[in-house]
Amino acid sequence: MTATIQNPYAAWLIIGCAALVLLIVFGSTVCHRLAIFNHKHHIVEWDDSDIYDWEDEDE
Amino acid sequence: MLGTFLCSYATTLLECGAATVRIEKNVGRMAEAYGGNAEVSIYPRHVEVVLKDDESGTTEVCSKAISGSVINYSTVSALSKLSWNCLDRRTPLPVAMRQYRRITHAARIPLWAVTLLAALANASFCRLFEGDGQAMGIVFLATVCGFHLRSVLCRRHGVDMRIATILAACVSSVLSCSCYVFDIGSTPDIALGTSVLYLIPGIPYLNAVSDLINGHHICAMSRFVHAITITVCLSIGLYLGLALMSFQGF
Repeated sequence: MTATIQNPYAAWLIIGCAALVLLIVFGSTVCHRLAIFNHKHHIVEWDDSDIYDWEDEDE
Repeated sequence: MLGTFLCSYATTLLECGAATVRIEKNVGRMAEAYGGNAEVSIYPRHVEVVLKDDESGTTEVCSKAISGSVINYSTVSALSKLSWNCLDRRTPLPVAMRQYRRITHAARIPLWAVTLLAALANASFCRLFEGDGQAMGIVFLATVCGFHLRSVLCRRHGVDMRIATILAACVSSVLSCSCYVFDIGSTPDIALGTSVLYLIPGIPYLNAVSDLINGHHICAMSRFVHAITITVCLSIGLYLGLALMSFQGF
């Protein structure tokens, strides 16, 4: 009997599995390095005083 | 002091995957080297050493639980060698304790090296079952991904070993199905069958049989149940992978 793969999205599942492995293995390292890079070069930054600053429309 | 040392020594051997017969012989040899007589009771999670001093006639009882099971045969081999050194060369106890600490704190083989070696071994299994070169390559990649995934999930993320085994088996089986999906090689069935062999707990099975022969039935049953649990998890992962791919053919 010849074995077959019936799932039409089998190729995407294989790619998804490989991506999942890469994400679990290297995900935390990549996030950590990006955070260090951002901390050094300030690519994404915000002003803490602006975060809680809003205008109350009712007044 | 000798009783505590022997208890730690026996616990380390149990943690590293030594069979009970080896633990009994090694501890007995070391006790003999320092003029004592040791009786070892080995349980699934802890070791008890009763040390009788031949000269003073005193008895010391020490018990210690294992912290975790990390198979390491190089440590087992080094500790066995240490016991022979103590007996043959009459190594003083403080020196033996220092050597014991050095052996237990020695650096392990890096994870990437273990992963590559396991993947090579599994690819060789594929060849033994008459898989072709392409199948060997796919098995190699599937093993690298599954083995590394399981190690990272257990060590870094603290995931339960059984769940990590299910995930690793699922990932490896899905990846090995690429032989069917992308029409790689002429032996895709062998690639699929051998892609999860690295998860089979060979050492617990061997130790269980060894303990059974040696008469340590509680330890043997414990190791046997552990090995069966891992095998069931591996089977669940393989089934999940095949179900995901809607595999039909067996």
